[in-house]
Amino acid sequence: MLELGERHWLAKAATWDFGEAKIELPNVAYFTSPGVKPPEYAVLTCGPGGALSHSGSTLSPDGLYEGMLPPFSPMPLLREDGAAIDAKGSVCLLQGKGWPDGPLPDAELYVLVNAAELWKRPRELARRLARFSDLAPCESALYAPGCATPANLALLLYCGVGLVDDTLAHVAAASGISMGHEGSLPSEESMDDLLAHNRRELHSELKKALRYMKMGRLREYAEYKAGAGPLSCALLRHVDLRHYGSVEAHVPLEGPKFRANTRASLTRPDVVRWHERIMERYRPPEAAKILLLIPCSARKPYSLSRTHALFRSAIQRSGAGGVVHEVIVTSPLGAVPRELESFYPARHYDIPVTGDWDREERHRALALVEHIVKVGSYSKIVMHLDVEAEFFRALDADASTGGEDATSAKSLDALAAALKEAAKGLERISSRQREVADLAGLARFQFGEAGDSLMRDCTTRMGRGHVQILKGGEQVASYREERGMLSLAPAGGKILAESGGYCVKIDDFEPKGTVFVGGVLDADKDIRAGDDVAIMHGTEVRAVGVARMSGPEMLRCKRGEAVKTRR
Amino acid sequence: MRKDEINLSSPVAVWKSQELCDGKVVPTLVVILRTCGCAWSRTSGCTMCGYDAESVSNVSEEDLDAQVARALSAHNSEPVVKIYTSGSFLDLREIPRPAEVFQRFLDKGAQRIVVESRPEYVETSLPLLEKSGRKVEVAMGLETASDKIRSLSINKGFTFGQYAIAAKGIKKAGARVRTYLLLKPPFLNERDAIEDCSRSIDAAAKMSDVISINPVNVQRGTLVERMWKRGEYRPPWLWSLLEALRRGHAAIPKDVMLVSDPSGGGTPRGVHNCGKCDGRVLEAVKRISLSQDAGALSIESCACRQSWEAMLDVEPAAMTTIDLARHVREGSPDAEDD
Repeated sequence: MLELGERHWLAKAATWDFGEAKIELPNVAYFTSPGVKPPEYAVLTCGPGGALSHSGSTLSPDGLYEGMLPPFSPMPLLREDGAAIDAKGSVCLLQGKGWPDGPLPDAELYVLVNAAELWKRPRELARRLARFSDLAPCESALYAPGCATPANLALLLYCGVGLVDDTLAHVAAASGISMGHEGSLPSEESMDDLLAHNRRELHSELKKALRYMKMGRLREYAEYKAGAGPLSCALLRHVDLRHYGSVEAHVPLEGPKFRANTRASLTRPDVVRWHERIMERYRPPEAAKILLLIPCSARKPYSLSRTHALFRSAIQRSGAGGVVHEVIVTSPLGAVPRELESFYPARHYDIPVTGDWDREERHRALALVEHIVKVGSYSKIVMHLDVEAEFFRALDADASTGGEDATSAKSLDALAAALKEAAKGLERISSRQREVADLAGLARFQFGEAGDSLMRDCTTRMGRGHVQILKGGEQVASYREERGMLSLAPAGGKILAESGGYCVKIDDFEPKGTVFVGGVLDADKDIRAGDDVAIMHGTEVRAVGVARMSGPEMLRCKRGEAVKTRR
Repeated sequence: MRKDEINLSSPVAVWKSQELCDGKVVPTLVVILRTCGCAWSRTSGCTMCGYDAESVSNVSEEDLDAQVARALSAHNSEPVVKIYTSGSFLDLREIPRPAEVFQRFLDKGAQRIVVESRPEYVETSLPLLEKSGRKVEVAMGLETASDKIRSLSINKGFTFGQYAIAAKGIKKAGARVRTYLLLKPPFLNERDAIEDCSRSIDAAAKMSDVISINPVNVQRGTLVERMWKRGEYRPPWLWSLLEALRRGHAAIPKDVMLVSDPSGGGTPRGVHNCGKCDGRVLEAVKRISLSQDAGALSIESCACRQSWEAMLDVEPAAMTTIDLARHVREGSPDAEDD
């Protein structure tokens, strides 16, 4: 039996009943043989004397040596007599060209045979890891033997590997190599000393990666570790660029603060999801006629920063507040409309601020802003930027007021004057009207088109620490800045249900507290962990709640919490 | 050398060597004739064989006559003559008049002629073999007794059954059978390579007068070479060859010879150890091949034997056949080669 614990994207903590033992995953299986004892911290062993044993060559050249002479047919284990793998649980070997495309037989532990060969082919490894995450039962783990080092372990875990071995630590020891967290160095130490050292390094790296996983920041750590070698770097890039969909489905809609320090931060799936939602879902508030581009601040949400307080006071002075739409240009998110500034991950990222933008960052920010301009109904564009003004020149803004220093009194005065000028002849919009329009933009960002139905003809009312959203006097949702997104009320759930989005269909029972996957009949594939959803039986909405896993996972998992209902 | 510069009237190579023949070490002449080459390599080919590079399509019968004449002029009454092509001597497309070649060497005093052939050419050659009798030895590359490995790792294109029929035919015709076994075809780990070789020795001993173990050497233009360049293939260790010889000598009847004459031994492309002990281990291999005395195997060990033993253990658990030691040696463990 394999019981799932905390998940972090593709990485899963689990407890695996392995024979008599309970093995916490992710973990390292330590190679053991009559001559080699496991270290004292080992909880699982592999090899001829180990719990996970395997004998024989396993290479399945098919799919790995394509285009190389001569043509091969699918090759099973070469060893005809030996047991493939002798484990006391339900184990399935993943090998051959066929497996990534067909359905997987049910098992608890899947063995990525020839993981060492795959490690040298990061594109293919990424493909297989992504396919595994698409196809494997939730309650399973992936064992990748022969490829883990202290330098790549965190990355392997990030990609969904739950179990590795220490065989490379043995090979390195036999080859006079001392393994380190960032790579390896030749060493004069004895084979026994090197083995002990290499194993300790692997063990301490496992502990470190698990700590990051617990913090929900494994991605950040994996990004950092990807710098340890070209293959690590390539693997992360392939997973990001070619298998975004397979990973994104497992990324919750909320998370802790993180640092976007590396180039790979630009392709974090939660960051890419932001880009995609801006491009595919987002609509600027119709009432907003003046697009104002401003720089980001280190403090989040931006509006709590000193610089943004200055910008906002200039906007207020201009008297055009109701028609100005502030869009913050930033990296790696590209563009953050003010009304989304608390939506994950806009409030959660931290970047090194030097004023240098690389081509990719510029391209992304410009593309998003251009899109916002295209779908908005702006009559004027004002830029109040620092260095960024340069690469938004293509927008042909009506005014650019950032000057040398966007926070100087002179620039701020220029901003207020430019906005006042731009607002001439525009209809005045009350701040209450504008608030509704902003929340409508947020609803669309959060729920897609169903968000439009939710917010149609709504009004707002200040509650205690939150904004209530009412339709015909009945509350449909509320907005709390700390959460940065809308929380559904039962009436809102009904509207979502009518428009067909963000619904979880359950069996005939009264959902209270937690809905477990066993009770789920169907779930919208767009749902992500952290999403607000409507819980329905038939056509009747029985509750609203927060998803604990993605829609596809609710259908694939055998156990676990699907939705926490909202009282 | 470019193919259009090749001298068609010269053999690929001619050299002298030694061979155990009827209990005596005797001088041997080895001739490699340049022919149109192995028909199998043109239609499919084996994963480790790059000998087709030595073949050319336009060798005429006159060219072959000239090559044989040159080889004959090098023959200095060596009792054993090995006449190889880079394919099958018994394939009439390669050697149209094999009887004549035999006769010319026998006339010059050769007592034993060794030729090589794939089994499919044996049946039509049986009348010729009957005529020459024990003086001719036909060597066939069985490579392994396992049909699965022969097919999937080597792509040899024939079965053990086909080899066995050919071997029986050769013996019945009165000629001798030599069987080549390949040590460590690709996709086998070191432990399985030894295991496969030992089993194959047992199986081939029933069919053969001589068994010759050929450890894989990495030849140009082959799948094995591409794998080796990627760090995904390591030629066998010399310790593995010694182990296969030791086990083989313990298992087979005394009247079957078990030999090995590795090409490229001690080099990165051939069977090798750590570089420090390769010379003396190769010397031991030669000693046993010429003496058939397994006692010649006892040899001073080396520190690398411990690494070899570790690899034998760890590789199966790692479920890979890449060159793990090279993998971890290349600077950072995940540094990419070539």
